[in-house]
Amino acid sequence: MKKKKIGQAVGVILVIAMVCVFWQLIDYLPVIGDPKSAPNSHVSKMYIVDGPSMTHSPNLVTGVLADFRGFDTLWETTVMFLAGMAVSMILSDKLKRHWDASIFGEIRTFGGADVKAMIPLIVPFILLYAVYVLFHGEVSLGGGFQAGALIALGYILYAMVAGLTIKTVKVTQHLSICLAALGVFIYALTGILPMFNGGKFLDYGRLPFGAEATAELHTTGILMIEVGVTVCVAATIVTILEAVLERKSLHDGNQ
Amino acid sequence: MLIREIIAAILLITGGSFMFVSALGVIRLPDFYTRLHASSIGETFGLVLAGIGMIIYHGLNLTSAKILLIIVALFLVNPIGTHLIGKAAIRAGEEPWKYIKNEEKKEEEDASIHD
Amino acid sequence: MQVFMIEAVLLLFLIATTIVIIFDKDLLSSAIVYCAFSFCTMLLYIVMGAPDVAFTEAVIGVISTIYFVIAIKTTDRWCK
Repeated sequence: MKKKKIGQAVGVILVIAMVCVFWQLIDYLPVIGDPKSAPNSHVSKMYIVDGPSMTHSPNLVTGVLADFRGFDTLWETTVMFLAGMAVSMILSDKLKRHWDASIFGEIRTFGGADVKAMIPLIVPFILLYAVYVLFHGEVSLGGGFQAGALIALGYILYAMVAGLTIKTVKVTQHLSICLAALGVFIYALTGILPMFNGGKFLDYGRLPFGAEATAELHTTGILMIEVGVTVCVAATIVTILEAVLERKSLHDGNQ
Repeated sequence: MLIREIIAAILLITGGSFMFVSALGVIRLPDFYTRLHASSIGETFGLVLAGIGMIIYHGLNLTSAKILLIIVALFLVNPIGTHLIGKAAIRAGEEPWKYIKNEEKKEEEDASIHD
Repeated sequence: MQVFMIEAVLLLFLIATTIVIIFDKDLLSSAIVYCAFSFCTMLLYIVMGAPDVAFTEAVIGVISTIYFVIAIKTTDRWCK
């Protein structure tokens, strides 16, 4: 008991020490909203003024994420895929392999009006909204990450309520982790394709899709990587869900 | 202040008070099922009223069409969620609350103490 | 001034929910209050002028609450 109290006291002291250290460091940062500080005077101005015309996307967030910092987003997507793979590896259990997607034990479905009439009324709209958010990522809010999470939400809704005994597509964790890898592959493919045409990696201006205007090529490149990100995110979320639902109990052995 | 703004303000305040009353009910009611009933009905209706207030404030506009779609979607989805939560509670074995009058409760307590 | 008041109230809610999550012994109620915490964070992102991030936070908050509840169902519900 004494060790626990000492541990808690050390934790509190450490937190207070870190807060004091960071309090001193605040003096070195520029004041928020100061128009003369370095980021506000030339860096932001260049991005805000020239950004939409250089990336040909009115939504500056998507432009920065997918065009100026496209290489960053590639590794973000890879990290998501690795997280899904890690969860799938840790939680796999070779002995008990009965697959039961319903978390309510023996009773598989709820039954009733909810499953037969209401949920099939809602899920198509969720998926349609996901596709809308994906395709309009350059113009308004959205992009790949939100669309992928929405698609996974539609799947989770069915898995929570119906137990997947209704005739839908049953996705095991092995299939969905392969789909996540496919998403990352689509992203990397969009990066390699310009290199066949004389450009650098992820250089959307030189995609080999006919000699069209630069604006259309940039938009096509952003759309392709958003599709890759969507597939990866949706598949990762479904993988983690299936991996956790497959285990009836997460206690190892001693229970 | 135009008439439109006054009506919108009245509707918004009414919707907000419905939501406040339902939140109060969630805290003070004794059982799970009564709390579920309070939260679902009050909040959905308060949302519809507040949404209509916002539609009246913006006039006939694209924004109003979007708000109308949001209200319709939430009006359909909230009861479904409540229904599913209630069914899940019955499956999990949650029993409804029984009302015991004060004199019977005292008799029960006296009997258990004397034993 | 109004924006400052909204931010102050939201930050107070944030601190209150965080304290409930940390110090509660019932893990299931902590998971549900985590959903409320995610919602407060989403409102703060909207007030700060980042609607993309708010959209993502709304969706991910729901998904991570579902994960927490599933994990609590397969392990213990009460922490000591």
